[in-house]
Amino acid sequence: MEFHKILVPVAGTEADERAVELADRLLAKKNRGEICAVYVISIERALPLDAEIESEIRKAEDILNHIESAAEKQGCKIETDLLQAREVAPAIVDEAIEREVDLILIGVTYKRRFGEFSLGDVVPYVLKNAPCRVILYHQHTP
Amino acid sequence: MYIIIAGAGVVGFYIASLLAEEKQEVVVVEQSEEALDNVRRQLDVKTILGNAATPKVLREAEAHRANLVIAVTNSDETNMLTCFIAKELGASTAAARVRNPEYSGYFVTAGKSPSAPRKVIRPKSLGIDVFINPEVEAAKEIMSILSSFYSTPVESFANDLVQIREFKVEKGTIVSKPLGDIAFPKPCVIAAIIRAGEIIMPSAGELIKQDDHIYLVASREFMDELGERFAQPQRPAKSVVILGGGRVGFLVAEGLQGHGVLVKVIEENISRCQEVASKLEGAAVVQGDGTDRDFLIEQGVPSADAFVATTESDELNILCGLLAKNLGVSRSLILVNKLGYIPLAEAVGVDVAASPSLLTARKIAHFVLHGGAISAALLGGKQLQAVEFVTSPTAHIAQQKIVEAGLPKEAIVGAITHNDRVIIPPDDSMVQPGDHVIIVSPLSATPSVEKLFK
Repeated sequence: MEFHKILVPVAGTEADERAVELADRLLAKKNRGEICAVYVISIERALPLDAEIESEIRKAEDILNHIESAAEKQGCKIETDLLQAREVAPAIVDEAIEREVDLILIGVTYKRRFGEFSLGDVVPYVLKNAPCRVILYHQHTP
Repeated sequence: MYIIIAGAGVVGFYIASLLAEEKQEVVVVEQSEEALDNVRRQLDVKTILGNAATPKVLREAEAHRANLVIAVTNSDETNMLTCFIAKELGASTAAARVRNPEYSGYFVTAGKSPSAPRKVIRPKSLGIDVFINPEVEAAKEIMSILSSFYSTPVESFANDLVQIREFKVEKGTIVSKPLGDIAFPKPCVIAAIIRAGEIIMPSAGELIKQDDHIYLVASREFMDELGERFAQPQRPAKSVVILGGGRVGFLVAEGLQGHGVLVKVIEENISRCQEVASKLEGAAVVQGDGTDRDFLIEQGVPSADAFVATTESDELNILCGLLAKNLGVSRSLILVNKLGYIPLAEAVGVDVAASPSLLTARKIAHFVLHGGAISAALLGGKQLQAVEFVTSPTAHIAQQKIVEAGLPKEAIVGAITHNDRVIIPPDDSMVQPGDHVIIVSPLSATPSVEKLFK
């Protein structure tokens, strides 16, 4: 299975790097496939959507720079993008539509909420609304 | 490495001379025939006459195979456009000198609808990997000097575990002692001595003279203690008088104020005074002439911890720095643009002369890295380079003792870090893969050092 445009939403977890590595393996390289790692800053409702929150931007920049250099070390060139929105999940879906990607690949960590395994809010929304295929990647951590 | 330099002004020329000395493949693009002639006469580099911010000229400069494009013309816009076009043509990395801080910031685009996600445009998306702001670099350097015990520059390596610090040997310290007889309280390496602009490779019999510049490599935690052998430590500045309310002066004042330092800015231009005063709440802004001795006394310069001259005129800075020193201020720092003035300024007694062009070149040195190198710094003008290498398992030097590794004789191993432990030579342990090795050598010897880490 090969894809031409892959969107990898990143959140600064250890799963991000592995997700980009997998995206690189799934990419149709002969046809100049593209990988785009995207980070979404969530803006609380008390602030205007255009607000520039320096601390959040710095944090996002660090995460994107890290993923970019990690990808480069693996010999894979990726594009990175920074978005800000009220909710993270719809922004990912919007970006997938805008970029006309054929795959959204999300690296997930094993999260618990109230003692139970939980996928969080973002993944279920993306699974439900994505305009393309979605792969969830979970790295087993001993 | 193939490097394109756009702009042959002071910074462009200086960077080109460094890279040419390192035998890198360099092409200088410049619009002024006169400036280009100057480059041709003095340097062994390729030159192209024309505007670097045009695809035609960049194509002629073979931007598609450039490992690095350094745009250092006088115009921010030209520099940014040059980088943007060069990256589009296929250049790997682009660095631009951008003075206006608004260009190197972030901005949010308008959304398609009020609730649609906004895209944050990052400086990187404009095709520039490295923003170099000479004024910001100069201000940072001045602030770092003012907050430390010694008035000399310092470079950090191996995640700040190791430092290389320049010391100017003062009267009453180790003057006239042979190097081999000096007992240091903690392990350290003297990497080089610079005497009257000449590099002297340290040997046990070498006599240390007053005003020698010593480059000392040691673990960060011991550096202040070791420095007492060469110079009297001074307390970090708590009250500072800044001459000049220009960009550097303002940035220094703002930065120092943020650290709780008492700041007074002296500026001759009344409208600039008003502008600075409106932006710097809590700082005293005074309009006056910095060369007026009585005025400086009136403004409390003799009792200040430091005096910093940051006007646009080198001559005025030197003169005022000297005057402040004469009035009894313990630290007198000045900004100098013309590199030729630095030894002159130091010789007449001004403590430190920071040069924005030198600092820009130093910053760029970090990006012109060699195979296996992760960090590089220029020491002593353009004479020496300290390079930090990470030993790869296949490097020639791996699993060898450092003394047997076949380093060029001009190169000195400053320090090795093994699993975050600092090892200062002489040491006969093997260099292990993953170790960081910090080597100080003249620029011409760097390629031979580099081979050992390939």
